[in-house]
Amino acid sequence: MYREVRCIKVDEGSFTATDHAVVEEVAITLTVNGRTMMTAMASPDMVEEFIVGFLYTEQIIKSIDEIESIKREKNTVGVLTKNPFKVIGTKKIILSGCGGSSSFLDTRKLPHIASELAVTQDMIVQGLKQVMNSSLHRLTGGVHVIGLMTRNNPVRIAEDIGRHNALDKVIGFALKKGVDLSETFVVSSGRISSEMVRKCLVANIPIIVSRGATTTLAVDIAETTGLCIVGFARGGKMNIYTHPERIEGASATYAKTPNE
Amino acid sequence: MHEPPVKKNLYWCRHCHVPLLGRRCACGQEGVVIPLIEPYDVRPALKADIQLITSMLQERFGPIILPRILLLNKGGGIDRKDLILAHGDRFGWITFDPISRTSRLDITAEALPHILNSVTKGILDLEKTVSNPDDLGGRRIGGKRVKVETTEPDGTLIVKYRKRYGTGILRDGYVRIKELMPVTPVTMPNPNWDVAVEQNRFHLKNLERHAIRAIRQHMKDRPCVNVSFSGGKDSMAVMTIARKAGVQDAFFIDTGVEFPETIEFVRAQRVTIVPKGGDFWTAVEKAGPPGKDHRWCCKLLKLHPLKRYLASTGPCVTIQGNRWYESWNRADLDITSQNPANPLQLNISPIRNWRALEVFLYLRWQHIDYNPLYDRGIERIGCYVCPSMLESEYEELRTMHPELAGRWDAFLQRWAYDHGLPSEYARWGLWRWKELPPKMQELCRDHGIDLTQKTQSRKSQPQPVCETTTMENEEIRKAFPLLGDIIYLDSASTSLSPEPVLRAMMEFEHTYRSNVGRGVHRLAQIASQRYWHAHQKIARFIGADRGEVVFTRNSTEAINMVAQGLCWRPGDGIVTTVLEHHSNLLPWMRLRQKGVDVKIIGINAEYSLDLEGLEKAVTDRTRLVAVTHASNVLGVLTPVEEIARICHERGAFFLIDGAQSVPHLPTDVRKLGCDFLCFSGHKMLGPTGTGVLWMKEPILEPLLLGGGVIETVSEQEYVLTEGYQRYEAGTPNIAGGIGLGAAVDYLETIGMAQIRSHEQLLTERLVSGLRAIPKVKVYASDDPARRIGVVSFTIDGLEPHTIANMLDEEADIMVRSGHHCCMPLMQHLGLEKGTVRASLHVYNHEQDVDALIAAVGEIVRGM
Repeated sequence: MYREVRCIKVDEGSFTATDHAVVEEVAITLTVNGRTMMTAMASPDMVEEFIVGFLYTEQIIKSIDEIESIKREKNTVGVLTKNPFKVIGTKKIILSGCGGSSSFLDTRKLPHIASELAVTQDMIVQGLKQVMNSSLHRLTGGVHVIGLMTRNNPVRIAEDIGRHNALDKVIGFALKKGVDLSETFVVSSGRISSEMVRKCLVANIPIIVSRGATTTLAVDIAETTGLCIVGFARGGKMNIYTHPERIEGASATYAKTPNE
Repeated sequence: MHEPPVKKNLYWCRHCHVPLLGRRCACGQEGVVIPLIEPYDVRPALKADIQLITSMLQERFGPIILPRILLLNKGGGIDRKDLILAHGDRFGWITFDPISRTSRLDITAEALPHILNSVTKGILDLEKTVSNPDDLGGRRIGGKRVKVETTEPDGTLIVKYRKRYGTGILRDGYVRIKELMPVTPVTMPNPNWDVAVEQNRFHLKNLERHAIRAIRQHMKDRPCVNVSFSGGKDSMAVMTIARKAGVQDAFFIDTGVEFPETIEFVRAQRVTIVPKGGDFWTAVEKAGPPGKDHRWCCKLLKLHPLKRYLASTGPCVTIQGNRWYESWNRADLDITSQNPANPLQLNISPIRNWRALEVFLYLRWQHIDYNPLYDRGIERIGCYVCPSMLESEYEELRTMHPELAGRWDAFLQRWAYDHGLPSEYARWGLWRWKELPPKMQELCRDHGIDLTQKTQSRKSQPQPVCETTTMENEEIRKAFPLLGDIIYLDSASTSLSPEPVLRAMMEFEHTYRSNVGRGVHRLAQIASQRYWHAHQKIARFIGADRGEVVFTRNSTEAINMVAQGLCWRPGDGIVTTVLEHHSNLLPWMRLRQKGVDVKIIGINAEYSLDLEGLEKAVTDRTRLVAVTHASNVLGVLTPVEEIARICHERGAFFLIDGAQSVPHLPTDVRKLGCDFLCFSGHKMLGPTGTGVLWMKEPILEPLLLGGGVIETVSEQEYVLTEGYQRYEAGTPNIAGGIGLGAAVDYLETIGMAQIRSHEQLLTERLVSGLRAIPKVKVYASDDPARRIGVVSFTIDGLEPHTIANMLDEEADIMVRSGHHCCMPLMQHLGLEKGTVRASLHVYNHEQDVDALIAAVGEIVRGM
């Protein structure tokens, strides 16, 4: 996942040659039923989970049962669905990474959350701790970390140079294990964009938590669709931007009126 | 053909108003003669008949009441044609038109005295309705055709002229007057059938006594006696009589296409039900609809199960209810007869001279219920797809069981479509003959129907084979259409492939046929991935979590690849056994040319491998031990895990020939401990032209080099690729590989453990059944845990090829004969001519085993 790379360390005018751990980035090409679907720039682990999660959150498959086989060859992953001539949705070329391009967002077409899940502040704090504990993150400073949690346990932690990829990875893992995503919440080291929200909606994950900021578009979509966004979760503090009823103890203090 | 003394007339007592079985009534009167029509069978009209005739009569003529005693005399025609007898007169005709699907009633002049008083309509007063009164001039009006004005519907009606009455046929505004005569209305007494029974009691007693005597005369002609029961009235009568004669056993053969009412009725009697053999619905896809002149169905559905039953009873006397009067070709029935197809059986027909009237009267006299279908208008009880059934009866089936009729209709329509036949083929019942009789030919000519088959196969899709998850044997057999009309016991040679495997191959051909590992276009990608996936499936199937799974043409190629792929030096040793198929023997024997020492281990008296001998033979010069897991002649399993241990201790490779074992037992290469496993795809329900070589380490030099095996090539050198591709040079059998993957899926749905236990039960049944037949020697292990479903046998005095031929010709059973590519084994066993070999697979069932045992028994008896 990383390589030691020679570099010159500069410190107050002094120059030292040193080795630094640099995170790996590779191009992964996905073909579905023989047709190239996309090339993602990603970290080279949990590749199969990434592909499964991606296909699901991009709504190319409706269930993991649709996949007949996944074949990995160097940097290409070939997926066959059970009916290889099913018409796949419009092709997208996505360059992942922090500046990920957007897919077309129409909130009327996005699914709404169907879940009863509510969590405590403590669960969020614990979740975040586990996510920030990632050694790769600490070593290289170059990856995003996403954790998929249930109220009681972590389901999976995944790392990737792109946070969207990491999210696809944990979702793919959950699908392979048959985990009920409506009982889970996501903790992310990176910001919450509309793209992250969209993926959570398709996967029916009701809560997403981040150490960092969110965006207005993310908040608007989340409000309409029932997703709970929690940002700036550090130490014992956090900001709840939408659907506070999902955080125990929060809804009484929520002042916003429904029509604002 | 001698004419049996059939009664061509019905006697009627004018005093008691009942039919008579003899010339004289119990009251002393001699009966009047009512001539009958061929084939002279007469029966009481039952509930449905009475309802039909009454409703048609009343609709036409008004509130006419029919007498309780109504008789029907069956005649021949396009379809149903019965002469109605009432009050001792020929009352009218009831016919069914298969084209308009309607019944029609035509009354005769003899009916008029009985109905005239109640007639309110349907009567044409010629004086009032004739268009031209001059037409009625002249002396004789009978026979004339005159124009009339009337609102009466077309058809037979009553005509009246002045004081005379008759019948006429009205059509298109004209009436053809048949006759006109003075008619005096009469009202006859109306006795019920119990009176008829009473007045004929003497005759019924006589008939019964004669029948019992006939049975007693012949029932000891064979060691046992039974009654053949069909669920119909005749066998009901004969079973009653037989039981009075002291016969207990009766059997019913379930064809699988019986009326549900019949099955229920049979179950309520104390009768053995012989389960069905072939499957009609599968066989009919191949053979086409049966015809009155092409009754292939009786052979498959009745004869084969009958043979099985007879094999269990031994030689027997069978009492049947067949009668002269049933049809034209039953007329030469003798009291005893022998069917050449069933030498074990002597048939007695004790009621052969009874008419249906005698049978029904007898049953009524004895207070015995008959099959409820008779009261629904079914005159002849049989299979509901029988070509001899009338279209009028088929309409009853449509009402009673729309799902059964619907299924048959759907098949007929599809068959007609596929063979370029007009829809009338199905709709009018023309399918009931292979060659239409003159009457039907005329009908077709009249309507411009051309029944010559146009195209041979415009193949429509047959009913989708339902893919169940329960996978009961019945369901499994449906996936193998070949089994519709033959018994396949040669799976050790090659197995059959189920529909899902064939579909997978056709899907490849139809939708993504392309080469594998070559090309980036979508078809190539899909084909490559499916072909790769098939390798994964095989690996999982045999528990291979490491090593390479290589697709080959068959086991033989796989074994040769190992023999050629290792480097041999003089003095190297190979150990193999006398059980081996030539494919696991010759590749090693050829290495003797390179100075390799090849030792062949023998077997002991119970056919098990001489393990001690093998252990001694494996030295530190031994490089490879090659052993079959299961013998394709004796079915015996070898102690492979023990041999693996010996090989590991001595540092020798261990190759297992799994051709006969992998298709029938759960296989795990980790437990087996072998270095190489070779097996055949076509023996495990996969396509022909497929086989597998699994190797624990890819140490072999590939047999073939060429396209697909390389990383890089230059003019100076080449670098081989990794993975199975290294060993699969050139374009492989892609459809075959994909089909083999589908075969693995299919087997896993059933479960190899289930397959194993299913076959063990059948093998036990087969071995013990064959052992019980004199002159038969069976070559199999006695321990069910040490054998698979491969059973060799010989018959003293007959050569194996002859036996196999006879089994094919006489019993439609496919087996193998000869030395089975195991000549050294045959020499060891002293069997110069080899053996007959029956081999089982998941799609065989008990009936197959019983059929083989019965057939072998027959062959022995015939010697």
